[in-house]
Amino acid sequence: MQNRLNYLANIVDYSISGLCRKYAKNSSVLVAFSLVIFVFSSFLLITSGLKDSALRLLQSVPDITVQQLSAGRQVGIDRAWQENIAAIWGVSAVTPRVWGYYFDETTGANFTVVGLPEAVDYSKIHDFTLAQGHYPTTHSVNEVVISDNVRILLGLNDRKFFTFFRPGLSQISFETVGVFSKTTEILTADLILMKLTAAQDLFLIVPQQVTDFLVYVTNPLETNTIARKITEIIPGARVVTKEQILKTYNVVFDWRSGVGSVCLLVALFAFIILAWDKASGMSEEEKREVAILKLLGWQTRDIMLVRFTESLIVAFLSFVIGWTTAWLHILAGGSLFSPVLLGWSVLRPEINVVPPLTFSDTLLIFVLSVVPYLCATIIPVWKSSTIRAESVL
Amino acid sequence: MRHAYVFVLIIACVLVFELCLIQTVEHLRNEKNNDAIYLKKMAHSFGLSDLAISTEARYTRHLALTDRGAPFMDHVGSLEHFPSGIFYCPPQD
Repeated sequence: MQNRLNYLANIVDYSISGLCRKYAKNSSVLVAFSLVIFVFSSFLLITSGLKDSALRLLQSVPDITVQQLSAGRQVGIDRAWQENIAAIWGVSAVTPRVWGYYFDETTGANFTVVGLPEAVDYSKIHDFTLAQGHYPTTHSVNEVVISDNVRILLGLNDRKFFTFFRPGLSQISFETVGVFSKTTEILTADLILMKLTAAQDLFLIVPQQVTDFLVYVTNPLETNTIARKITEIIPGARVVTKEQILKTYNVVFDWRSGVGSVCLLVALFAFIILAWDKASGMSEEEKREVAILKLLGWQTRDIMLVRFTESLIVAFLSFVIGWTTAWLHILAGGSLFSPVLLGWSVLRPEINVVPPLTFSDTLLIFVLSVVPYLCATIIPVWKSSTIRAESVL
Repeated sequence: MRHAYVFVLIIACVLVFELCLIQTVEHLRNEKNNDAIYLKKMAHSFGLSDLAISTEARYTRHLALTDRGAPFMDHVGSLEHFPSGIFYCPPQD
């Protein structure tokens, strides 16, 4: 046992000495390989973090969202349908909602405006979700709750009132009565919450129409049946179930996306270059080294083990560097991917996700990065160790 | 000191660092889980169907309530051109 350990320690000693002798070449391989694993891991971690956040937070979205389509586009839905939906057996509540996008020409930002009826009970979420103020009260007219990002972008500072333009360019004034807390940013970064009537007034939507209905179902197992019944009642309705929303977030983060494909192709080409470099043959110096080792009594097995240990050390260090820096990068906000994710958005929320640390993801990164590298070195290792000493010296 | 011992020492340091990283991640996730209780209630009350990350285009802001044709609906012959569009796969119908 002692001899075996001593033998392995000698092999590691010699491998590290060999790596140090070819310092320039090995360090460049280490940097390139670490970079590949970093890009690869970062994409996997950010998509895994976003998917995890979405699936965790959106578990409680309304069971069914009902919208009206006309000529393939979403249009307002008649409020009269609310009673028909509520009459379906198994529906516990139907909430009409107005929501849309307000493009602010001064700042160039797109805000998401959500208008909810007065009956909505905010008491359960009040304390945690607001950094200051309160939700719109029943007697108010144009009270709004905005995110901190919106407040800064509108340049409100301590002011409470701001003005938006209706489609006809007439002005409508709003009073800020609350600001969402920073912890809710992942849901509210661009949100302006107001009463249903105020949103109808802003978008000039007639009082008989809303944007959609949020339908809550008593028994979740009946959701699909109720969704089918709604499509039968309302011609041209688009019915989105909670299951479909969660399914969407399960599939949108994938290797087939543009960024995913780029990461995959970069990794693939880097591996091809590394493998080609390894397989392209040895220098005269390396051949001479093998020949001298053989003359000194080293077996083919020993030389193969040294070469394989060298590759293993490079691969292991690259994996550790790439994987660790990828984690630090994502925990620090994923600055490599945030310009792509935020794009031309004027509102730029922080991407603050903490991906789940799973053994399967780590193993996937390890298997897709280290194993191909080690496999690519097997044939060159065998070729280098079977050189006949007299053919070189 | 022998190279092999230095290498083992480096591996030990790396392991300690990775353990600290794992602990930090677990701590941050616990914090996120506490926040999630209220955020879920918020999503339920407001009917919020999407994460507010990309606000540049309606089809990347509300992925769950959009359809495959949305990126090409702005005008006849419109092409999908927003940067955030390349991050997501098309939602399933």
